[in-house]
Amino acid sequence: MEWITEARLKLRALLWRRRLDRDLAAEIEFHLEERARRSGLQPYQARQTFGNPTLYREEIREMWTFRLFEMLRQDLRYAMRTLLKTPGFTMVAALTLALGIGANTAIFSVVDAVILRPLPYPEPSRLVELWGNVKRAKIERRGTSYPDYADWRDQSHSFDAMAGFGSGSMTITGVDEPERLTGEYVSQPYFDLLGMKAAIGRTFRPEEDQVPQRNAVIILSDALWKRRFGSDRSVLGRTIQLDGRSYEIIGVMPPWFRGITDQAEAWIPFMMTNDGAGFAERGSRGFTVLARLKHGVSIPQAQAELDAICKSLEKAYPRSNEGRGVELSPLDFELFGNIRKPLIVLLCAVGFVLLIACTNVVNLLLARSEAR
Amino acid sequence: MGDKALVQGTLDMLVLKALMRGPMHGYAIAEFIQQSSEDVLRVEEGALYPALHRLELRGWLTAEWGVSENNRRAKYYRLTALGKKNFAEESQSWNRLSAAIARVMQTA
Repeated sequence: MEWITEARLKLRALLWRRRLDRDLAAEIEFHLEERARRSGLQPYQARQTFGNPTLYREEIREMWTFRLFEMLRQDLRYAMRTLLKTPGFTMVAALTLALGIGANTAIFSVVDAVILRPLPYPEPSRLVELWGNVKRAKIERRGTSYPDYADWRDQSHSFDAMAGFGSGSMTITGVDEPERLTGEYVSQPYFDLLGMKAAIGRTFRPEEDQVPQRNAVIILSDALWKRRFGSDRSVLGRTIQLDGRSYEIIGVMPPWFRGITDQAEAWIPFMMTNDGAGFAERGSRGFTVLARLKHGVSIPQAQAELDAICKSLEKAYPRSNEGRGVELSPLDFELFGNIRKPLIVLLCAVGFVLLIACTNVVNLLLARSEAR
Repeated sequence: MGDKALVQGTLDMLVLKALMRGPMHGYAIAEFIQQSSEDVLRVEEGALYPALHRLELRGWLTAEWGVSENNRRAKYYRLTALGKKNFAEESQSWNRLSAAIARVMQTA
């Protein structure tokens, strides 16, 4: 505890440096005068019994300062003076280092977002994408048809939830000028399995994502809500025109959320994208499925189960499902997988740039001291 | 230090002892030590001040500016609870030590 008292007192002395000096001088002066007065001595005699006041003052002064700090301050002041004497050199050196450091910071902030931080959803490692594929010369990703998706969902036991999703451009019309925007059409469990809640209002209910289509509902992104509705909280329940249909607004998502595609500004139920006939067509494939693995189920286990389901579907519907399989892929790999390696290479590269910048500055310093 | 050199720790202890009587300024402490030792302990008076400031930084003393008997501004030192506790410990161990040394010196 003692060092806390000491640090506190020293800090105060640091702020009141001049007062410390003045107090010290006054304290010693008082002693000398008192000694002279009481013992009837001349000032010089009083000083003799005291010892060297300047030395004692220095000794005490040193006690009250952080020695390391004092040295650092002196060094910094010296460095400052030297740098100011040669502004050209200082500018070049600072610019060189600034470029190196700037490049590193820029790349690192991307690396941080893409590699270091987990996805902003609860337990993101359990989130996977399901890609319908087909065996040709090699296996190609194709997407899923609605009946296949429904069979995967209903026959599998490895998943907490599954949701089909796709993205497309939509046109808002109405009182204001028309606007094209990118939206996602998503199955009802989409938000729940991401762990997303609406910032205002709610997300979809199961009955809102069913054929035949009932009254249509829509969820807005924060950006769209701000732009088009001026952040009006009473927007819930209002109707907007989207691609010629009326949608009732039931929710607004938090500002950072732009969907899995990261560019969505509105969400509508998956069932709004087609009529009943289209969803019955097993051969018309074209969307991706998002799913959350059950606790403790690994990707290979889930993959094995889906493989078996696909086999039986192949047998049951040979015309549409021959050679059709499914590939499970972790969501974070789908989002960032193919930019991770180039990013790391880039990070190394800018690291070397900084190294080179440092070498250059050192060379400059050396050349300068040589010239001297 | 004067002719009778005082070990640093001992000076600290004498300062604490002086302040057990109540708040004092540096001059009074020096006087107290000299007089109560009947002028045997004569330190160079300035040596008192580093000791005072060291104890203050340790939190054993606090200092405050006040007015002396003859109406001059003087810095008064006062023992803190921590200082009192440490003085009790140090004087105890000092008593043990000096008694032991005395016994050794008395053996023929």
